[in-house]
Amino acid sequence: MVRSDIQRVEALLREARQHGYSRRELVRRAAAIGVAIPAAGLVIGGPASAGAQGAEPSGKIVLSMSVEPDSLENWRSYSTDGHPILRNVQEALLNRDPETNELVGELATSWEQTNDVTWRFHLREGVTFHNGEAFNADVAAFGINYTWSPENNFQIYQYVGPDMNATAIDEYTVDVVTEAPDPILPSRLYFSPLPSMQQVTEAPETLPDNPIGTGPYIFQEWNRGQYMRAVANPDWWGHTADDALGQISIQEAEWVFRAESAVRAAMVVAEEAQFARFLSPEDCETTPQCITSSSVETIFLRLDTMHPVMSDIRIRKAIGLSINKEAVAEQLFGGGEPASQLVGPSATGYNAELDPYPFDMEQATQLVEEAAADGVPIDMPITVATREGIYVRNAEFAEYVANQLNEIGLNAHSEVIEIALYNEQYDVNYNDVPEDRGWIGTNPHGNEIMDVSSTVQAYYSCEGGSSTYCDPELDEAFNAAAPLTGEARQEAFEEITRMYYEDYGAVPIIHMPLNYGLAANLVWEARLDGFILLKEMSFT
Amino acid sequence: MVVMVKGRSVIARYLIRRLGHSIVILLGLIIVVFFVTHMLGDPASLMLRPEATDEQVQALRESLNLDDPLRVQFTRYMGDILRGDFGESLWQRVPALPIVIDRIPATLYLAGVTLLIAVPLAVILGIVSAVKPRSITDRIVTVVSLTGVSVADFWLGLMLILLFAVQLGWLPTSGFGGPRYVILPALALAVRPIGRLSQVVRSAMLDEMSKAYVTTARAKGLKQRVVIFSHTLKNAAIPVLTLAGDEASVMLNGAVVIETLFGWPGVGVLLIEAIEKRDLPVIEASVMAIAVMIVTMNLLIDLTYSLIDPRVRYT
Repeated sequence: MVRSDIQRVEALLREARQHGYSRRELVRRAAAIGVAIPAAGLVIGGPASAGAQGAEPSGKIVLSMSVEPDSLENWRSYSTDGHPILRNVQEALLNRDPETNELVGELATSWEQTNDVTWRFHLREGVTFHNGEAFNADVAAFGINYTWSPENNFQIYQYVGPDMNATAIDEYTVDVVTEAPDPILPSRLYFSPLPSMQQVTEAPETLPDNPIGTGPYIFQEWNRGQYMRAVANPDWWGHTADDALGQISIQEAEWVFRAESAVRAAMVVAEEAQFARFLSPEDCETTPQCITSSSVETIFLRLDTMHPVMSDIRIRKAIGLSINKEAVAEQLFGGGEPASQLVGPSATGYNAELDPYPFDMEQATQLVEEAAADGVPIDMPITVATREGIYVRNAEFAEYVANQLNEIGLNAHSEVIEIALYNEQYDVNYNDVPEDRGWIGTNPHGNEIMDVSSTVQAYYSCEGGSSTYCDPELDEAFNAAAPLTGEARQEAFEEITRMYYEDYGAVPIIHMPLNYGLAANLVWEARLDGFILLKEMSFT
Repeated sequence: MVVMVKGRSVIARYLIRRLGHSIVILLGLIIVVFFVTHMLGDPASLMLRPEATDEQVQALRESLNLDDPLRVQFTRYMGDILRGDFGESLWQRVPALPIVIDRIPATLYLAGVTLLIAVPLAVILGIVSAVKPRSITDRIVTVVSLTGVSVADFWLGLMLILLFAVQLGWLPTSGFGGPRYVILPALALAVRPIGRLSQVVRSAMLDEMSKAYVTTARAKGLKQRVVIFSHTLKNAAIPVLTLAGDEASVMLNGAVVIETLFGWPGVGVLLIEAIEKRDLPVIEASVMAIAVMIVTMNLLIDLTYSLIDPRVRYT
């Protein structure tokens, strides 16, 4: 690339940052000023790089994360702790296009549903794991069966399910058969990358600490409590592929872990790190580049609907009316859209006709009084429970909610609960919750699958792993909707969303914004699914 | 010579007796940890994920021999502990004790540097204050001490980061490494001990300086510097040493807030993480490691008393 090209691209980049161009817009403008797409892609390091790997990767990036993962096993990559590291080292059959959020091939090049319960994936050829093992259908089938094994019962199986079995048809074709029709199986498989079969069978003790994958980065070292390191993979298949949706421009990566948002931001300001994740709005503003991005995370109030107080729909409606979502968004979370449902517009089954529950303290108080007059024991205690450190300002939010409930005549208090204890009480099904518990849980819900069905499964259904709600009619509707595709699926799940909404099964609050602090010279765009992929980053 | 030999044998007997006490304390701790662990509920259920199946819970119970009678489990547990075998971390899937031992140097490093900052500064402030009681200097030192005791170390740590790391760029914001990395966390940790110790130094010095021998020393024409450092301070050192030991115990427990803030990989933050993850082997190993460090430190402090004050007898 000639010097004049570089100068024009740098000028364009400055303009892009100032005006917030998307990567696609950037490439379009690059073409308009006569800079070739590969040339622009070299500088921006993004999916616009349609051709082969350009300049040799160089430099090092330090990413300051809020939590250190417990383990780097592949099935943990669905969690927000795991995937910032894992998805750079390991890859899945599918990923999402960062611009459109559509599913795209990663280790698979194409896929189709051959019958109601079978999806066929055609695999990418010429891919090898970092340990030299060839990637093929046998390895893919093994990886899928291992990850989604009912015997292993990994958390991803619990949360993402369903029962499935993968079989190699030929060297680069694998069939995945599900127990019941599952039109969104590809969305589920995007969720977890595939491990090395060799590593799982011969050295399983290394799985937690030393993941081996096919990805653009090779895992090097984990110094627990301090850092993780990886280096660019010179043999990555993406170097010569047109559909890699990124390229390696950074040679080394180091992830460090700082629990406090202010310290993560300070690291970026002090140039000790180039990327900081999950910053508070105030801390983010101190960094050279603050990116506030929509996400698939929705903060909501999960109500113990079996409780003598919250079993009354008037009480649930009152709770919904007592929260000023706009104020919460602005004053506590520094942004975010008030939510009408537990998923965002990107999800199949999102019902655009529903509005967030309005804020009306007068009506809320009246409803509580009516319920009390009919004998609802409104003085029974309600606990607004929040998990320690689950998101920024969660304690303040829980305090606010408890205060509002007291204002409308209920008897509530907030409680910050340490992680293990909270999870023990949160991940309990409706049928196992003590009737008098009286919890309002305040976890965020992330629907990376972008299909309401997983949300229904987890939170709306009588048997849901985290469900404190039960409506047999809704369960019936779900069972009927689950195998549907296309428009029929959209309409069926819109109806289920409406049923849950009108019954006040939960109180959605906001679609959570996520704040990232970047160094001045780091080029990166946030993804809706929250993945942090080094192949989508570059330095100017 | 006889006195010296006698003195050495007295010290040796004292040392043996104290070691015996320490062992008793540690054994008692082991017993308490065992029974508390089993009183919390089924250890297997506690250690596994909430969504673990009954089969997985039972498999873990069998692998840990939790279905054996309690006295059999206890005997085996004691034997394992005495061999240094705390089992395998369910979180990291490696032996628990090495995980803890890996963290001890960082904790000792931070505690040591903090005390190196805190004790001399506290002594100086306490002396300055005691030499001119109720003066402006005394009042300023008292205010500084009280501020040190009152300030939240978390807030102080953040302020130090913003000033010295972000604004001035003199030191790193956080992390673990060479001398530059320990300064800010040690400063943040040192403020409270400086506050507490300086007041104790002041009180002890005032007490000593009111005694007749000090009057005699001054009457003999000794300089103030000699009176303070050669006579008074030594006599005032015992309570200061005791409190310094107490502060050191706090640091050896792991200064969790400061370790978390600065990303310092010490025992404290490890213990908190293990508790959050219900990793009982690591919890037990951490508790024992901390107990051993504290017991050892207390023993060393007790032995130091006689170096400071020859009147101290080991009985």
